Amino acid sequence: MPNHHNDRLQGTLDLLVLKTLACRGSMHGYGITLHIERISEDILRLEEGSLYPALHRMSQAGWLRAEWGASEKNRRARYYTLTAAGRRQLAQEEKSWAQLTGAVNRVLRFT
Amino acid sequence: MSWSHRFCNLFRRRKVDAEAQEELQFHFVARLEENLAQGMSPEDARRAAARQLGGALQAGEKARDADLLLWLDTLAGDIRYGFRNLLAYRGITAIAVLSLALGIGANTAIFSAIRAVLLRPLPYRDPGRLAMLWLDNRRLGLHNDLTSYPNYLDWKNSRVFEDMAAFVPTDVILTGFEEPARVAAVLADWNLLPVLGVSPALGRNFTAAETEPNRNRVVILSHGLWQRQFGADRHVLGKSVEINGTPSQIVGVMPAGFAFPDKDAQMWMPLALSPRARANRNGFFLSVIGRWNPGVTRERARAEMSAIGARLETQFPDSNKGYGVWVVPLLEQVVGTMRQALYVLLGAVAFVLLIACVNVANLFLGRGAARSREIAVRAALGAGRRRLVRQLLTESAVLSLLAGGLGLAMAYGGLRGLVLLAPKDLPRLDEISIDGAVLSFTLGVSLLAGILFGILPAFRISRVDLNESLREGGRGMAGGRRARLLRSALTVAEVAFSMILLTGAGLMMRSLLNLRAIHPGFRTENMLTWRISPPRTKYRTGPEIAAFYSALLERIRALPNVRGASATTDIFLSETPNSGSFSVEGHPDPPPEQQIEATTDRISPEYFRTMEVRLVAGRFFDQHDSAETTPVAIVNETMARRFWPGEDAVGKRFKFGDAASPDPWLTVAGIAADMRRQGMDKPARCETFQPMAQRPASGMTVVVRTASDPARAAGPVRDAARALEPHAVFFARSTIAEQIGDSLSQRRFETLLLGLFSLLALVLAAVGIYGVVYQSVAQRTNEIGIRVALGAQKASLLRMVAGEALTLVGLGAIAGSLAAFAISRTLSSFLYAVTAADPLTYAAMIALLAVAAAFASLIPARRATSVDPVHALRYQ
Repeated sequence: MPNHHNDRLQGTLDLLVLKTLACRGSMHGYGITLHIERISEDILRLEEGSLYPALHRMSQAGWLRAEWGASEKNRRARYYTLTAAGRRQLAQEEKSWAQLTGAVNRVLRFT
Repeated sequence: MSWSHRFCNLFRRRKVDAEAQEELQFHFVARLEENLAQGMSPEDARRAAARQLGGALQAGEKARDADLLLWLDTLAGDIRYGFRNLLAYRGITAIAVLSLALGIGANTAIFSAIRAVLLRPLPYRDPGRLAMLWLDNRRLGLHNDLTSYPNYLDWKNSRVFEDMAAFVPTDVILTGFEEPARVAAVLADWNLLPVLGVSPALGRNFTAAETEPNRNRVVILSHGLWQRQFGADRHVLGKSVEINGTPSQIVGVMPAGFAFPDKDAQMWMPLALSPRARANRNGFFLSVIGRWNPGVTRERARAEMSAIGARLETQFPDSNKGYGVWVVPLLEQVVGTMRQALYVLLGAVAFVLLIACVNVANLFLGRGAARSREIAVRAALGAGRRRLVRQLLTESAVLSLLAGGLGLAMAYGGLRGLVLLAPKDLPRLDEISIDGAVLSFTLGVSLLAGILFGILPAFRISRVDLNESLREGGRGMAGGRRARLLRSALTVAEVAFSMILLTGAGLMMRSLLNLRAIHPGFRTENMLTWRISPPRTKYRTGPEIAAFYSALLERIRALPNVRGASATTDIFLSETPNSGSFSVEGHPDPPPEQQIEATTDRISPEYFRTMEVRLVAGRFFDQHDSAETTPVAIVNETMARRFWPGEDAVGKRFKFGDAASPDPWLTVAGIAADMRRQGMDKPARCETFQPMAQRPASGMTVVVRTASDPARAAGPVRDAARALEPHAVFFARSTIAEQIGDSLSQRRFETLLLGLFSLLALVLAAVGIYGVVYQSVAQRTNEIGIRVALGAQKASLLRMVAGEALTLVGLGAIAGSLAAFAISRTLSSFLYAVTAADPLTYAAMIALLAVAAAFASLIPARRATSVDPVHALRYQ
């Protein structure tokens, strides 16, 4: 699979997904979208075109575990949960995000 | 992603795919519900969900196409998907497969005939180098005439031909078995088998020394004769058989399948000519086969032989003036007129297949309406246009391969029928089979057809506008004006194609009817004909032979049920009949190349009365014409008109050979009306008849006119002949009606096939018209409902529906007529007494198409008139 052009952006998507799953436990893809949209007050809208490949990629990398379950309306849906490796990845991503935003903020605050 | 994962995914792909699809489906539905819950209209909700989902998988699909293994995996998936779809639309699939199978089957059948007849090499060594060499008789306008022995020797000096062998097909009487049998035999120069490159399976070829006259007679048997008459006895070599009353030693047996010059030949014997015959440049009786040197083209062979012919003309003007050499590759000679007929039929079945393809394309376009939703969902799930086209084409290929399989089965059955229906004398048709080449042809044609009918709908359907089709809820595609226009255009095309076929078949049918309507100039009903010969050992002199036939005819006439009996050397004329140039008294002899030949037949006195030939002037022969009276002849009208124009031919004299020849002068006793003796489609030529009493012939055909079924007279005739002469030989029993039928049989066969194919085309076109009109009525249910509600009469509704069908047919018929007019020129050699532009045929076929269209629009029209306005208006 070709590498994304922007690793940072991809990292952001990963971070959002990992964080969501860390807070809410097991969720399906649609639930993740809804959660992020709601919490970010509709500022962040996930493209399904990137979300599902990302979920797939992270499962392959062993950060997530995917399993089929029943949705609220009793439909078959795929639920994702965070693995131990996922938690470690989250910690690392959070750290690098903090570094990044801190750096950006410092640049912005400089007058 | 690790390689191990990637590798595992290759095998898990199917599951992964299915899961990914299900996951997205869940997402789409959940989003849709959410949108609805927020109060969006269903349309907007669906549109928004689709938009958000759009492109989700597009990236993935593109990435997948790059990998060959994945490509193949996708193909397998597409094929499965295709099957599922074909099953889902069972009715349409059945119609499509059936019409394609008919088209493919017809193509396969005709192709296997072409392969058997035209493409498969003849069973000789390097057969492409074999050719027949004929005397090109410019005096008679006959390319395939027989040549003389001195000519043959001169031809053999050619440097382009490695070798040549002369032969004479003949009939011999084989005795020493229960009944004397007549067997087709070939007298040949010793090198016939070496030229062909075939050796006997048993024993040996005859030697050059054995072709010298007055040697011990030897014979080679065909495999079939060896099995039938000699019980496949391997010790048959060296045994003796009696041929024409002379013992001959069997020296060889040919392998099975050897049939030169045709299937009839059962024996090959040395052509042992007397020194006189070998020296006679005016004795034309030899056929010649040659093998040209490697690397020689037929043009070069022709040029070289023409040069030799021209040299002989100047060297021996008395015998050779007006004669050239004609070279025909052996395969062409064997196949004859079949080549053109087969290509015409191939053209016809190609049109049938084309019509079938158009039909299926139309069906698919119509089905596209129902499928547009499914396609839209697939597009929404990220399938690109190319991906969709590929999917749809795979589906077409699956369908056309199914049809190909069925078509092959149909062809197999059809070929058996074809061979049964075919005239027995068509060359090589019995060797027809479905082999690897035919199978590849069928496969190729099926795939081609699949692409042909699949490509248009695939592009059309795949050009989905997501919003459009999801909103319109499935009516979008086929309901569109452009789509309807496209389908109408396709229907017009298929009507045009069938019009081409129908006019072709119509013209051939008219030719056949014209030929059947021709009066041959003699009676055809209740006429038994039988070749009867007295044993040569007992009847040697002319008067003895003449007396035998007189006595025989006397006995036959005495039989009950017999109205008349007579004898003739030949009722019908072969391609190379007995004929000669002649000199007319009082006219200067024309130069040799302008001389015209007349046929020479010997008849019993009552022949013309038995045959019911009209007497134009003078008298017929009677008992008084004998060996002692003035030699007389009867000529036909053509000859009288040509040589004694404006005068009374009766009483005039002519003789065969030039004015100085030793032949006696013949006085014209009477003029008989012309007869069609060379087939119904050929005009009479110059013909002469002499009384058998003045010029006896030993092998004659006895003609018996009966009061009822001529077959019932056969037994008594045979008994009467046996009573007169127990060793008389009988063969070629037939009736005149049968023989005339035979002369038309190839034409009838071709007409029948072309007729069948054009009927098929008509049915397919009718199905096409039905489909389009039906669909249009279905789509206009609303409009029709409004019309009914506004008080439209049934008649006007019928006019509307039938009008649509007739417009399609009208346009198609016009286009088809123009095309047919351009194409039917290729048929001109098959036509008789009808021009390729025959207006009656065109009018009749247009009428036929109109009737077919009326029938095809019957059901849609009924549907239109039975529309319930209330229901129709709610239909939306």
